[in-house]
Amino acid sequence: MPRILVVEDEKNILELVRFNLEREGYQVLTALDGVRGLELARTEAPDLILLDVMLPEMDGLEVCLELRNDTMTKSIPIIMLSARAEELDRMLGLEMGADDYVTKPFSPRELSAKIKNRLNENKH
Amino acid sequence: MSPVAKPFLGIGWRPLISYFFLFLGFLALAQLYALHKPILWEMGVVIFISAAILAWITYRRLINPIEEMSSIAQDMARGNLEQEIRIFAQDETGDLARSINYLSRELKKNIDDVISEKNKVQAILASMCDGVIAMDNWGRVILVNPIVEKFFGTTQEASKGKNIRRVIRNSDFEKVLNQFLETGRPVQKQIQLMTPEPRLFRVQVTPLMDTGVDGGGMVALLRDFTGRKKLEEMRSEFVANVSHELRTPLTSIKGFTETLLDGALEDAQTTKHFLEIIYVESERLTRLIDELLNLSKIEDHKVAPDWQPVSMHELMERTVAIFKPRAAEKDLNIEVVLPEKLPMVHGDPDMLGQVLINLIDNAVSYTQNGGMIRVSAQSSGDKVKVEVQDNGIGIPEDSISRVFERFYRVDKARSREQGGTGLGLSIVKHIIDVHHGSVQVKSKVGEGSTFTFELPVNGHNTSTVV
Repeated sequence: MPRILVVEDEKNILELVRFNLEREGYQVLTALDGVRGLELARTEAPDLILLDVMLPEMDGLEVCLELRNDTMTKSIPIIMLSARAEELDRMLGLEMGADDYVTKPFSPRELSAKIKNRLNENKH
Repeated sequence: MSPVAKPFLGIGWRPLISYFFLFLGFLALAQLYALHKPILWEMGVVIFISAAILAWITYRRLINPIEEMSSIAQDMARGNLEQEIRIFAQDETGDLARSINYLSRELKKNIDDVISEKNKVQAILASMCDGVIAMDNWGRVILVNPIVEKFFGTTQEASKGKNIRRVIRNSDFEKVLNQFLETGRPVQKQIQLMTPEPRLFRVQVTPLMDTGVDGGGMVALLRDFTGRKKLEEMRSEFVANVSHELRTPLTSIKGFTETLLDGALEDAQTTKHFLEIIYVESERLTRLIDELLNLSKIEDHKVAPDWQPVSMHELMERTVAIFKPRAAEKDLNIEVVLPEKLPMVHGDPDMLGQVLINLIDNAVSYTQNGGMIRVSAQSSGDKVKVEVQDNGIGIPEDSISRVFERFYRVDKARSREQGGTGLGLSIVKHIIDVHHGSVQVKSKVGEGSTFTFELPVNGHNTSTVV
């Protein structure tokens, strides 16, 4: 079963994502802030990371950069989550290393589809 | 109307009458000559005396006044239009003098009109908040207004006739001018100029018509955008923040609804839990919209405060009563400390009630169970000072200066748990500002926070403890 790390500080949104991913059969790891998220990404080596941009302690942008600069976590697919679409464009445009993004409010089904695509792509 | 009398038969009546008298004189002489046959020397004496009298009359009535008029006319040409020719004779010279006086008066009036028009234009240019530079087609300054003088440390006298490129040394500005000169069409551009500190200007160059200078010229209008740019940035940041704040609860509402529709409804307990989240988030959305509207109304001065004498004493008692049940739940002790006499303040009771609600709500939210909240007021000089003090979790030092910012939260997660919108204190700040008061905060992590605001007293009314 693929393992997915969700880094999101909004508890309700975290619960929403977790419920839907678990229903799809994924194993879900969660973190409420950037520092904890980075730590889990390194120790647990998840198959995919869902990363919110506005995070306490360390924002999603920094976490993304750190993950890409580390050989251990370099190839883990990252999907960014944010309520600010222009911010996500910047993340991809500046090649922060995110693979895809989803803007809030999102449809859980759309998110699941994007995750599936990323995981399949990574397999090949 | 001209003071000169109308001519008679195109000649004027005086020459006709003079001619008539001369004719009579000659007729008399001819008669005398026929009667007495006078000798030559007698004739000579009579003619000499007549000629002398005629010359004297001509000098007095014609040459002298013309010389005087000529000298005064020359003086007028040098610009002295204040004097008048004082010749009142009822003849042609008198008419000429009156005409010259009339000319001088009209000239003076016209010049005064032109000067007052020029002063008006100058006053308008001086009171404009945009910089104005008029130049000829070679870029030589014709005129700069005081704003340009101030920004670029020059003066009208110093820059007149100088090339503008030497007054404002900036390659972007030069490019704008060149672009105008090449195309002849108005140019508008935002550029940064050093004044000497960098300022953002919107420069607009348009053709200058009809200057009397050959080939016309151009006018550059410089509008300072520095402040506006900052405002625009703040505004767009605020819009982005609002969008983020609105999208967050919407994400939960939309996501959980879709999840339920997708089949999670089978489990009754999960369904109830999700519906509760949807309800809480929609409440949060409502509160957020209400507070945003509130804030915008106060900020834009759309709603004029309902000014009246307000008894803070009554308002505090009433507001604290609202929080009693919630405080009891958390086992918090809320204490109201009021002096016997408290002057009325000048304010809007609803707005001031909102201030107390927001401050006490924060105190209740951020104080642990069993804590203490003290709401007190005292009169100090011509002000009333109100304090909301708690012994709760406090605010970290680096956050204290930011708590009144919109959407700033010391602890986002905790604020969400408490149902905070991040706008409460910024509303407090705005209301107190509208009331010409001041608000301060003192706090220490782990020891609690004290919010203090001061309001001006309304006249001499006092409210006493009942």
